[in-house]
Amino acid sequence: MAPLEFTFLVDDVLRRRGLRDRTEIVFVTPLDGAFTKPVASRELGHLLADKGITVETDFMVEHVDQERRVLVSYDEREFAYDQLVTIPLNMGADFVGRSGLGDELNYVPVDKHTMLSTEHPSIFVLGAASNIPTSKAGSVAHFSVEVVVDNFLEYARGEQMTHSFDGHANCFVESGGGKAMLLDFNYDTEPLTGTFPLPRLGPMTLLKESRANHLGKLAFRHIYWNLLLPGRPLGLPAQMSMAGKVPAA
Amino acid sequence: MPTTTIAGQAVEVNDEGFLTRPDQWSDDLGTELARLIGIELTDDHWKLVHFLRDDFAHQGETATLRRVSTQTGTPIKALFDLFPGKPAKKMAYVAGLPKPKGCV
Repeated sequence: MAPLEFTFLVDDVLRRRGLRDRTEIVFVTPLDGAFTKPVASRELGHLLADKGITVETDFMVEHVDQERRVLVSYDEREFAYDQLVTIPLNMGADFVGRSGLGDELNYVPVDKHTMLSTEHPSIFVLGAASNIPTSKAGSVAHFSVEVVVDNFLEYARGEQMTHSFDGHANCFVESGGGKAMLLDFNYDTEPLTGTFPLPRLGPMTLLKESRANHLGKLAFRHIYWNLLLPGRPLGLPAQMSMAGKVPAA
Repeated sequence: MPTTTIAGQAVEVNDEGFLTRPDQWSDDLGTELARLIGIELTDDHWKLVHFLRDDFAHQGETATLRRVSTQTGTPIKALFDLFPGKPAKKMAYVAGLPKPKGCV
């Protein structure tokens, strides 16, 4: 999602400087679409076209030819650029690789509900260091740690672990023009439309651009420094709720 | 979920034609799925398809192109040669598995 957010922000900056007409923006992805889940594709698919952003899919970068300023794929497609912003392969820490604990991306394989290492029953893995099949988002790390703490205490007492992480993720996506989108999803439920956190009242809207969402993102700065870091309760449950959501068709 | 008949077998598929129940797959079905997208499966193809199935059984997720490449020792270029254009999607389709997805 972050590369898309960046693309929207570039589009926004160029518009505000009156340069957008003279600039071509291309979003290149190794996935088979800018959005790969059905509800998001349906609700947001138009956004890139509306902003005049070209999307190139299934493009696995083989190398960057810096002399010719060309991005080259494994199947020999090419994109010329004046400016390239590219995301290096996201991998876990080197020490994880060196320790032999990690997979081919230096993430530690775990049970995705308990965060216990699948190979070492004395190791729990927190946050982005694990291989859980979801975004490497701060919200995921936050929600998962709440579950791990409860489980760890049970485990350390020799009891069965009774708490299960559902993969809950919460992502703001700035889309330019003082607006943002909000995504709320977990392992089993794709990002859906609706309101957050309250049904109908919101005040934030899911899978739709709104100013309220942008304000929510700005408010998070205060929440981060004054509530999250000092460990004060956020009032948001770790488990994803379906309240206010419109189920997928 | 809609049902369709492939290689004489009734299977559940999603709206992109991917099998929604990986347990309904078989080698024969794989051969037919490949034929439907214009691919004749060689030993090199089968090695990848079987890897994907095994890996899915352990990981619960369809392997990404990168994972297929590193785990089977097959260069990514070769994956594009064997399954042209959209290798990740085509391999998953032929193997009767969900296509690899991002988070949104």
